[in-house]
Amino acid sequence: MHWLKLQGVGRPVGRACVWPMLLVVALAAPVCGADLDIVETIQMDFGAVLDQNGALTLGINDNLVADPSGIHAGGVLRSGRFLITGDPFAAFSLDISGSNVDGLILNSFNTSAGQPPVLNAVLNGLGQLTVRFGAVLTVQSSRAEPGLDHLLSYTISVNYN
Amino acid sequence: MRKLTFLSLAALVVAFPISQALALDSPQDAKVDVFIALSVAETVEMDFGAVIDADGTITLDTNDVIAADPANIHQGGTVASGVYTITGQPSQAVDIAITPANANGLLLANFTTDVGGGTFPLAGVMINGLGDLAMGLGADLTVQSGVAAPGANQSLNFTITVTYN
Repeated sequence: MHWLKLQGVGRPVGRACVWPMLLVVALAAPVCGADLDIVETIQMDFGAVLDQNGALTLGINDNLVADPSGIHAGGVLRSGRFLITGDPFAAFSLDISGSNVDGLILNSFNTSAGQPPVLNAVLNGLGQLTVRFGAVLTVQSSRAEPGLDHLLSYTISVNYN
Repeated sequence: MRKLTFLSLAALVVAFPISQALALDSPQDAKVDVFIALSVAETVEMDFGAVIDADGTITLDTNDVIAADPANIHQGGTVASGVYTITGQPSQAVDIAITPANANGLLLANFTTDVGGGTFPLAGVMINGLGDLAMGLGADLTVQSGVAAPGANQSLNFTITVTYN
């Protein structure tokens, strides 16, 4: 029997022990790297808009892509920039959800990695990917209040493939 | 056999602590300034009083005074410099331009104001902390007698354009 043969060569390895070890190794290997992490390097900034109905599209290169209602009122436009880190060469999905608070609606995101949801973004050999974000900001004048530095919340979701 | 069992357990112990979070939801904030929409209200209408139907130019300053009339065409009447109130976001800068719509031999030009640099276009004029900017207005009025027709209360149209700086 195979079991007896193993004992005969001085390696008292029982089959019942070998398989759990291999199983542990097999399960552990894919998950032995770094957690995914996201660090904001530049905050997304729409500058100033008028308290009027309209929508503003911020591109991924600090540019104003569309403003059909003419609500942009100056200020500095900045696309969001984020550093995503994790395992070198790891593939992951990326999605972004916006918000609708106080007459300021943030949605329709775009990124330098593609239009969300991005199903197969890849980290480089250092385990990094820099991503630029743009989005559409809609102002509902009946609900929005004038003021400086209104915060527009959103959530970036990443997940190893 | 006992040694290998121990190794198996050790492998399990090592494996679980280094298991990673596969997903991450990261809350972030963008930002925007929301400005009050600009508006312009006329407080005092610009009024040149009366001029004769003869070629010439008069200059209305920002203090209700005909400052120049080299051809002596001004004939009295009530003279009033324009006064306009611009309303917008408190403590924000605006740019202001004026475009006349000249017609009927009555030409407006060389607008002056008592805010900013005094001549148009104005750049970076501040709205005050209450969201108001009062602006006096004067201008040159040129009469082309061959085109103008006598008559009272003839309108001299112009457009004030205000944008956030």
